[in-house]
Amino acid sequence: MKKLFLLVLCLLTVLTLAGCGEKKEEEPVVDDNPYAGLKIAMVSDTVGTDQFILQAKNKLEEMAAEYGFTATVIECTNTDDWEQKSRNACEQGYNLLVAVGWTGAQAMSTLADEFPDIEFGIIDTIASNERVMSINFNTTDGCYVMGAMVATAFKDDTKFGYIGNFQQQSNFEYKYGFMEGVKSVNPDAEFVAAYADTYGDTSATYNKAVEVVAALGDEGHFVMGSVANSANAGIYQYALERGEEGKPFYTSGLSVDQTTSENPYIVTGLTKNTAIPMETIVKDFLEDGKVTGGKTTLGVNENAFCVVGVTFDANYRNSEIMTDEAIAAGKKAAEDLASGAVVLPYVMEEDYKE
Amino acid sequence: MNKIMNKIGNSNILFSLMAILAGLLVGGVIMAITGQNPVEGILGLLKGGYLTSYAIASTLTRATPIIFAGLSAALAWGSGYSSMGAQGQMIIGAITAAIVAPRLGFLPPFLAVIITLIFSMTAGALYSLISAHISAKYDAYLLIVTLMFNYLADYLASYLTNYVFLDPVALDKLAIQTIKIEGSILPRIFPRYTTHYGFLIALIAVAATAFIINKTSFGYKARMGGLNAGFAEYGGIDSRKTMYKVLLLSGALAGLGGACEVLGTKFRYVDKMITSPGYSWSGITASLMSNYNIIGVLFSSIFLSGIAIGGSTIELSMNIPSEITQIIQGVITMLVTAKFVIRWHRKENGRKEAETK
Repeated sequence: MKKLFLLVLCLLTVLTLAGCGEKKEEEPVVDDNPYAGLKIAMVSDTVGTDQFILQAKNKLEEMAAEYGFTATVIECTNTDDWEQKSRNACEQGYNLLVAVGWTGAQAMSTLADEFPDIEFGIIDTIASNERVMSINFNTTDGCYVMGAMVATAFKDDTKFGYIGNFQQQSNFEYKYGFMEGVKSVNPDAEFVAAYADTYGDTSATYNKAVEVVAALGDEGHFVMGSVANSANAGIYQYALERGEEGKPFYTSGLSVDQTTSENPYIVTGLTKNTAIPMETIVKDFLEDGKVTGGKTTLGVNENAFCVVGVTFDANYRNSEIMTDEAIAAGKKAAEDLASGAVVLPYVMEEDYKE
Repeated sequence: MNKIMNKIGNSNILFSLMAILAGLLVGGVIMAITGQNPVEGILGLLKGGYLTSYAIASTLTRATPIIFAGLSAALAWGSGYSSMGAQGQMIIGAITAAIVAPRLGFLPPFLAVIITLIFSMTAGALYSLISAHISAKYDAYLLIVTLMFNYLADYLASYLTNYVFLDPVALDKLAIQTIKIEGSILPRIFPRYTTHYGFLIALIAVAATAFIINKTSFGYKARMGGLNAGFAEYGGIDSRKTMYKVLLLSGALAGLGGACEVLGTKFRYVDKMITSPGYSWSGITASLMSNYNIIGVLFSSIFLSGIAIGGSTIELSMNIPSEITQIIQGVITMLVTAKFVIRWHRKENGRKEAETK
């Protein structure tokens, strides 16, 4: 009897609360805006405070306000969500789905085959399906710019460090650009590279930083941090500790501008501006309701792949290291790439000779 | 209050239903607090999870790996062996399938799929056997050993995928995945919906496991061991032998589940494809909800899957954050686990009473 009473009580609570839940009134569509009926969804990891996702989201919402289409963000909490939630959006009549991040490639490719009337885009990777508009970043060019800047900043160094996530082609594109950039200033430079074999484990990157810095000895003071936005923290931590001990080495950030006065040993960085590819895809779609499939690459000259200190001013500039001369060298390298004076051919890691 | 707790503890179905109701209730309250209409929200959740053909199909697709993990857990825990190893065994089964299937292209697809499934079951079973052996030989807690072996399997699969079997033709260079399996796959039952033949295999697995547990002498021994290990031993049941057999079978089921996920939905091994969606944890929850009842696992798995699918539907159509459905699942899990605390509490009380007498 008591149980029944409790049950009824609970139900009543819900029903009462139901009354409290305010119903939002839908605004009637007044004008004959051709975009008003369109529904565009962005599919990404949980948005949170991740700049990489936020930039794309803000751009999409800004464009939705400007053009009058409906924009929704679909957040995925696990790898299975990407396809399942995107499929759900397809079933619910969305017109364009834009995935942010490489995890979405497989899902977009699969759904593009199954839903011929819906358009798909992806940012930061290339989907295998030609129907998907893939916008990738030219990372090599940006890393070249950073390499030229860093080599100018550390003129007396003969060795440069590099810590990547996995030894694979996508990471090599960073390393290759960086090495070419350094060598454009210091042709005899040598490199010490290590791979943390993780995207997320900061203790692994910390240990690799210890190894690489030991290998550099007195001949090098810069280690490029190329693991991942968060996992790079292991490198920053070690840089801070060494700096406090009076034996500093310097490093670079990834994904967002990570320079800060709290850790002056992070002197530059590489960021991806996802707002630019998002704008490119959505504009392309709005023109005629279709996206141009296939692959597009945006780089340092489109302000899509940015070098902190060159493309934009750093949050915190360590002027002792990042001298005006170093920054000028970076800007010069970017101009050389834009004018075609320097061209970096695509190279596979196995074919590259240091 | 004690009376109520005792009554609830006695009826498993009633208890699970109460847990579900409480979960939905808490979800509804949170929806109301965040300014959503909870009745519409809960109805939308149920509709999006179970009440349209598309919803049912999606729910069954997602339920398939959960059923296998749930069976694996129900079998082990129901027999008194606290194995958490379903995840690792699923991973081993999945990576085995992703390696074996593309190399059987010369065979007719049906045969290739059968052989792949056998390979994956064997791999899962052997993997489970290693932790069983370590546990038996060195008297280590099976729970801890299997839990650690999950990490081992995950990293092993990551390594194999990244350095040995990485898809050489992928345009997407960041993706850590094996080559796509063409042909030798578990096709969809209806072309329009994602549910694949792996679900039918799951149904067969449920029936077979139920038969083994309820109708064979091995099943009897296993159940006895679960109910009272000391009594079973006294009655002449070799508990170590039973443990090996139970864990072997439990590993085979999990391995099969991993294979079905590869052959039915992803068609390749993608790094973290088993760990990230938490299939094995949902499976363990499903087995707890059904109180290790084999047939019950089928329904609780489908229920849990439907909540997740329905959640993603209302997220899109009503803008209700998916965290709400995760809270609902969390409350259900918590309450279902609480059942064990109630039981344990009762057992302890009983023992104390006996001691004082």
